[in-house]
Amino acid sequence: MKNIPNRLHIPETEPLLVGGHNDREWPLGQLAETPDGRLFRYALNGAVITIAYNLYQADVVHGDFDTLAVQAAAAVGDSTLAVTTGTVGAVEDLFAFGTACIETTLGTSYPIKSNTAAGGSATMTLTFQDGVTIQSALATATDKVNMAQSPYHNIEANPASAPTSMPIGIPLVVAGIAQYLWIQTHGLVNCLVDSADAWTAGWALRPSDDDAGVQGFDADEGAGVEDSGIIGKCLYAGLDTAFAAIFLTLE
Amino acid sequence: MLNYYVNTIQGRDGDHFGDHVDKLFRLGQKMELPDGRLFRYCLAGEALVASTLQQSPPVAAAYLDEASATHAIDTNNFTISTTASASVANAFQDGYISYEDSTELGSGMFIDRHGVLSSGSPASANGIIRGGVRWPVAVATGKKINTMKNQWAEIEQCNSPEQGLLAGVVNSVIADGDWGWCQTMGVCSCLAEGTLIAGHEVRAGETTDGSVTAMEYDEDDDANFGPCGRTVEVAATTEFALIYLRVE
Repeated sequence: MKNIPNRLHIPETEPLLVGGHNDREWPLGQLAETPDGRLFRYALNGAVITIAYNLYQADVVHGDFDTLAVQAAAAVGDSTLAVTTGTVGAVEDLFAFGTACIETTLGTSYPIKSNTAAGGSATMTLTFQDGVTIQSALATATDKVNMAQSPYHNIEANPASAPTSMPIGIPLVVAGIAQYLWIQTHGLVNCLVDSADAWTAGWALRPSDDDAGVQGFDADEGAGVEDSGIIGKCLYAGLDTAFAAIFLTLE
Repeated sequence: MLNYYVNTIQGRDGDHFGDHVDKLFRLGQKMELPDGRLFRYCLAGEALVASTLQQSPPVAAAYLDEASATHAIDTNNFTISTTASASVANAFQDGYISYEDSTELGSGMFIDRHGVLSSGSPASANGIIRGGVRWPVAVATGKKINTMKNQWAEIEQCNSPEQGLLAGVVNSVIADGDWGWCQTMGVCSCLAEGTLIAGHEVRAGETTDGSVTAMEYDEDDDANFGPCGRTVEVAATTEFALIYLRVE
């Protein structure tokens, strides 16, 4: 067991570093809390400069990383796992801070520390986080692995359509391409509003299907848009395309 | 940069009870008990009944969509303004000020303190942003600002259904104007309305103030407030059920 909290306790200025961090200072997904109880996660921005106070989602993972074959049998106690990639290759450490999810035997998930680079249909070796080892032996003939990046890797703005990935948080600053930053996941925050229809104070909110903001949750709205689920609550009726304070509850 | 102290108070069982005549912590201060239950420090806006659901008062419209003053980049002061309502000094302490306009990047900041907002049209008061935070961009006159109190300021028994953000459940009586802890997550006792089903979600009641009722997603409008927990142990209507509260 560790002697120090897993969660960082940061001052209110910490998430407000304009431009972001050039170098990674914390593990992706590191959880932090400010004195007022807001929660933040450490993230890597994707290919577009972030827009502060917009809603962001996880990178859309390529479907070719599902159901990968175990390339070499793994025994209980092993700290690495070799898999065979699909048609799409992977750069080194694409899956760092991500997870290897076993589709078959016991469905165990293993947090990943690093991975080797691999082309398509090639061997990629995963190294698990320190202290993590294989819990149940894996066989080449039968076991399959689903690879999941860290949801905080290459974050992107909520699209102007139904969300295509998990909503992940709201950045409070402009950060450059491939910069690291804290994104807020819980608590009071200003956010872009998509409210062509009037809001009611206390109403639940869902990701907008129109822009990188939030929209009122209508349980029987139809067309499946409400299925993206609730991500927070509104304090008052916000103006369409402006910013309003919400209580975010992504975690 | 990290704080030297944990931001969440590590409480012991029993710390969540009680009524404080004097303010002991910042509004909204989080406390965690050994079993993981979470609480927020609150100010009672009326006499609070134990084991009932509470809400924040509706955000005052008089402090929304008001004109801003100018503030230079990297300063930490702000100006509250209103054309309709006076306010005492620090009424919005631990509250939140935000900008509506995209050119200010939708900035939002917590309020450390501010002066008296005298009646008038318009009226204004100066204040300081909390926590060493400074404006990342210059603030220009004519932009629209919204000022609101802390979510746990002057909380009141939840309407049916809620008319503001949910604040949580108080575990013991808190007198009007006194301070105490309001539970926001974990197992708690709460007034029940109608038929609850073990394991199913609950939301704020629709006919009984301060209660929870079964969440039904195909129910018009009331379902749009979303769930606030799940039923652990059912109880008859008007009695107290055990729920797993998830206000946050």
